[in-house]
Amino acid sequence: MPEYRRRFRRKMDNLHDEIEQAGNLTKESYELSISLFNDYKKENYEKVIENTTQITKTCDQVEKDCIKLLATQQPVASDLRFIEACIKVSSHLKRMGKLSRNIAEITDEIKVTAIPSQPLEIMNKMAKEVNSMLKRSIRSFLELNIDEASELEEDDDCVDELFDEFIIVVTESMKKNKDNIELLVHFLLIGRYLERLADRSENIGGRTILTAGHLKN
Amino acid sequence: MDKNKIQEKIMEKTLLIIALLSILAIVLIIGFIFLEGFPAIQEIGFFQFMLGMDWSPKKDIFGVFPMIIGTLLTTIIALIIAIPLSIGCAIFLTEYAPENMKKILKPTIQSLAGIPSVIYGFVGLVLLVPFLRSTFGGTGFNVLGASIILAIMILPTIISISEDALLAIPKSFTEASYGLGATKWQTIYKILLPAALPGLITAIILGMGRAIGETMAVIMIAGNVVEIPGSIFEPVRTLTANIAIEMGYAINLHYNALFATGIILLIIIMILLVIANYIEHKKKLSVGGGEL
Amino acid sequence: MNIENVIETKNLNTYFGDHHILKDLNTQIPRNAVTALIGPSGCGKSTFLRTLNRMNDLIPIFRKEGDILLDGKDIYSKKTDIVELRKRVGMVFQKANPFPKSIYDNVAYGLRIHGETDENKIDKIVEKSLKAAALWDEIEDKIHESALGLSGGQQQRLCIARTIAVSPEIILMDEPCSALDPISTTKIEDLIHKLKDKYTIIIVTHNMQQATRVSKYTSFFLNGEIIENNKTSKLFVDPENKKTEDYITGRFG
Repeated sequence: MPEYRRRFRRKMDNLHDEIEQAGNLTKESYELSISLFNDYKKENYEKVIENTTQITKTCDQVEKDCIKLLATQQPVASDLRFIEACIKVSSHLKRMGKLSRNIAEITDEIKVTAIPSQPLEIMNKMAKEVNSMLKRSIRSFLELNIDEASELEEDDDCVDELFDEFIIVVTESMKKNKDNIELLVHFLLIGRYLERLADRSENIGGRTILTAGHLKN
Repeated sequence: MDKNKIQEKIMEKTLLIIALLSILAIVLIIGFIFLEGFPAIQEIGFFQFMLGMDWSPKKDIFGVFPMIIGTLLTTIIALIIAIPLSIGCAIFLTEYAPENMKKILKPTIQSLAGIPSVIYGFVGLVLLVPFLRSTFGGTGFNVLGASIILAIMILPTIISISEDALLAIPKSFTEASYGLGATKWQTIYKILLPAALPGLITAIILGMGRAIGETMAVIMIAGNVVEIPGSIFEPVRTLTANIAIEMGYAINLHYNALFATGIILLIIIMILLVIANYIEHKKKLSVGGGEL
Repeated sequence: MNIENVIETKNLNTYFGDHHILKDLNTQIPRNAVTALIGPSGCGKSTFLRTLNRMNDLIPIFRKEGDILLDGKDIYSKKTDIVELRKRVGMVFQKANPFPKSIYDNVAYGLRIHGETDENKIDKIVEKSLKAAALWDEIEDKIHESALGLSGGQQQRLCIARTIAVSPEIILMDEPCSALDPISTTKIEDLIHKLKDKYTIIIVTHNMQQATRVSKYTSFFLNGEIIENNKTSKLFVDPENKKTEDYITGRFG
């Protein structure tokens, strides 16, 4: 392979690494934000905020690198599809980072120890499912694993069902104890954020399938 | 580095000296001819000499006009015969001949170029002259015979240079022509020949030069009578023959007159070369924007 | 998808002496569209092109097996009129090769050798061809001057005008822009866009971006075989064959 092609390959590898980096930060951010509900620690909260800034920065860099590669290298076929996917996936990761921050911000506003046990239990169940989806979506993209990516559609339906259950449980809890309503209204939002995170993970899975394309079949 | 520079300088100077020596040789010869010939021209008068119809050394009368006609006539007729034959042969060799035919024809033509003129003259004397005598009457020694022999002698020259000229035309022209659906002959006639014309004219010029200067074969066939021939079946004497025949025993004015013949010969050659080069030059220009 | 194919090859094999160039080629060229031929050097693209208008006949050691059909008729049959064939299938070469004649005479050449004598008709066709080749405005006032005085890009457009003057159906282009600067290249690609509705164009190119810009279909040649033949938009975004993918992404060649 001629030298200038090797440099192109290195730039593509670099792009891959950047996505991996953003992905790792996103995973970390999410896990920390969920953990805050069960055990609020100020430094963890601050880590989440910091991570989100870092994720945004990395994703903006990914987008810049992609545009540059498109303009200077005229990539085709799998290279072209991967670069386009990186632009989309980095946008998803950015959003997911911000969702994690939104979740964390709620823990900063309410008293987490006052959360009733049943809603908390459902939320943890949902959060665990979303965590698995998030991890698998990123991994499947980095490895272009179509099989893993295909599972995410089903998982998203699962999360949607859990979300419906979550609303019912929270509403029940509100009816039981009118003092908790303000707290639980904020808590309800988390479910929404989790559902959004699941959606984004499914989108990343969709991108993986498109990128892998013909040859992987 | 310095060694290279010195080598460069030495080579440049050496080549300069060699070139100057060559030019010197030519200049000396021409100078010698003019030197020896000029007294005759002075004594006889230039126009008297050139246009005089009588050549009688015993009476000290020297007029070379019949010989001028002789040279021009034999050369022109030789060219009329040789040009179509040689250009046609060159076209055949470059465009039509299969490989094995080329392998035979090319060396044959090259050896024709190497045959000494006296052999041509000899063969002409023994074969051509009797044939002309029996077919057309007269002595058989005439303009036609000389022209035919000259034509055969200049064929190899014109053929090989024309061949080179035709081969030098880039294939891209002929390809483009074929690509548009032209036949082989259309391509040769409309593209190849016009493009090769400057080279073909060079070939003709060189052939012409050889014909003008040919002496031995002409002497043996032309008849050498100092008269303007009434037809191509009458004998004629060329300028070159004039010099060669009488050089052995000429003295004084006769001697100078022969050199003066040489001067006339050189002038004719120079005029013909100028005309031919002019035609080539014009052809080079018009090949660009000319009509098909 | 039902595309009308103007050219079809069946088990086409070509040889230069002992060298086996095209191997069992079975392919079709769609009508009134631009098809690009890509692939590494020496893999048979130009040979294929020159077989379509029988230019390879000029090379003594050329030999072919198999069939090439133009509108269903075998172009190598004894009944084929080569002059007619080359009128229908025109060619533009890699290096512009205008004749050493005037611009006018260059474009008129094809008409004249095919027997056209009506000078008025020739005038009209010359003007029409030069306009179609986007050259008329640039040379209108020097149309009787030597073609060799034009720039490289203009000469190539002149060659295109010369080719379309005889009203071909198919135009073969063998790397027409490889010797030209980017602006001349753009003008010629523009010209190809204008011509593609009236003519079938087959263009050999080493420049893949050019292939993507001008062609609707692309054939990828490798070692005398066509590895993939597809719509350009498909081949360059999601090729079906790994060898195609490797070549166009620069992993080899």
